[in-house]
Amino acid sequence: MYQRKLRQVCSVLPPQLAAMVSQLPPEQEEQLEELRLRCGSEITMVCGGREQPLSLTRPMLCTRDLLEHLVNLASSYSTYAVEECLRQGYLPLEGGHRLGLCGTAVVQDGRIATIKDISSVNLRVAGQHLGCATALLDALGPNPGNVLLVGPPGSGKTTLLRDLVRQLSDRLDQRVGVVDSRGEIAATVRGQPQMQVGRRTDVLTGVPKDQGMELLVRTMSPHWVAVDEITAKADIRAMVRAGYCGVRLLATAHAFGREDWQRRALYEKLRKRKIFTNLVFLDGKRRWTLERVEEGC
Amino acid sequence: MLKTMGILMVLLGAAGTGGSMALAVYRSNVLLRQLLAAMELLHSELSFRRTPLPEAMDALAHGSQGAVAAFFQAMARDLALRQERSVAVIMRKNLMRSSFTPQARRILQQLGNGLGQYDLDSQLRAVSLAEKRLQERLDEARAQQAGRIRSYCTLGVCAGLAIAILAW
Repeated sequence: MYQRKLRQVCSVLPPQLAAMVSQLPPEQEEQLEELRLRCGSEITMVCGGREQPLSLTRPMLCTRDLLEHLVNLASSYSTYAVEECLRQGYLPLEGGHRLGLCGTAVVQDGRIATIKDISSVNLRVAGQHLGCATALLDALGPNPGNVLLVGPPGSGKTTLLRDLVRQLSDRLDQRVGVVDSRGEIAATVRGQPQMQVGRRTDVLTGVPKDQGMELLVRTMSPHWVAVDEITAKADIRAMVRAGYCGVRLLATAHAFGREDWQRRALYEKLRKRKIFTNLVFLDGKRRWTLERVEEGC
Repeated sequence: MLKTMGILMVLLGAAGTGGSMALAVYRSNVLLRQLLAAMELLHSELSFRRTPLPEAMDALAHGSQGAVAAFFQAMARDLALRQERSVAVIMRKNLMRSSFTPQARRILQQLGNGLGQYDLDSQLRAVSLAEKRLQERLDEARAQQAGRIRSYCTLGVCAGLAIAILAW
């Protein structure tokens, strides 16, 4: 499985870089989380949460040409075909991996039109931990209410959400609609989800979360609607509306623990109206605690 | 008898040379027409379907014939191989191998320098520019075609006659 993952990653790398990555020892291969390329600096990788040089014996400098080559390969030499993703600073890759991009943003009418002069790239190797939500789903019971996964960046919210979606769909036979605005949950490439999200799951990509939720509720009549990262008031308004339609919600939110969640103004409406009856707090070590909230209005 | 046959052969050879030059003029016009049609197809593929370049080049190959089809087929293959840094490099390599006229090569290379790198509007503008320039070349070539073909044929025959008279 790791070898397959590595092959997918290598297929978008320029040949000289692919050769280095394919020579990684098996233990690093398994733990590979990210490849980081910064123009003019040595290429590094993140393995087991630690950033280190890609090769200690043959250090490789990242050049502009290498970055250009990498971005061209990742977009199949067609950045216009992935313009919307580029606006959001990433490129989706086959296998669910993704390329995060940094450079000079071109802003038109107050909106990022594209990113040019790419200066650094973060290739995130996708990892799907099948079964990681089993214990949580058991704890939630047979007929769970709305679930919110709260945790800091890198705490595994999306991974847990993805497996919850998969298990709700396959294990509990529920229809799940996923609004995957940034392609992080299902990682759809040309209509094909690259991650296992379940047999009864419908994925809507490339649409803002609030519009996506409304669209899914209207057209796919899901039992559940899942979204990753509540970041705007519009998302919360759409959730409230979806809740009125009898759809159950599954979402993630950024916060460093319970206190931080209570403090954040963005989530005030969610807290007051008690939209989510199951709050799952994740720490940075992939552990979670479930807190039940009495149902709101 | 032998002398007459020799003179006839010289005459035919010279006329044939003139004819082949005239044929080359005709072929270059056909090539320009095919390239123009390919650019129109590329424009549609990009604007309506946002087709990625490897697939778009494949579609152009299937929609063309002869040298133009071979060129776009080679482009599609090299793009799918993913060995080269950019479209410009792949375009240069394949243009070097092609039998296109220097003018057509220049137009395509300029298109290739920006192809695949920017947003859709820029791509469409670049393709439109290539279309416009190919159309201009084609109009020029059409205007000159009849005169040039006639000149080459006449020159061939006259040169043959001249050699025949000198050799008599």
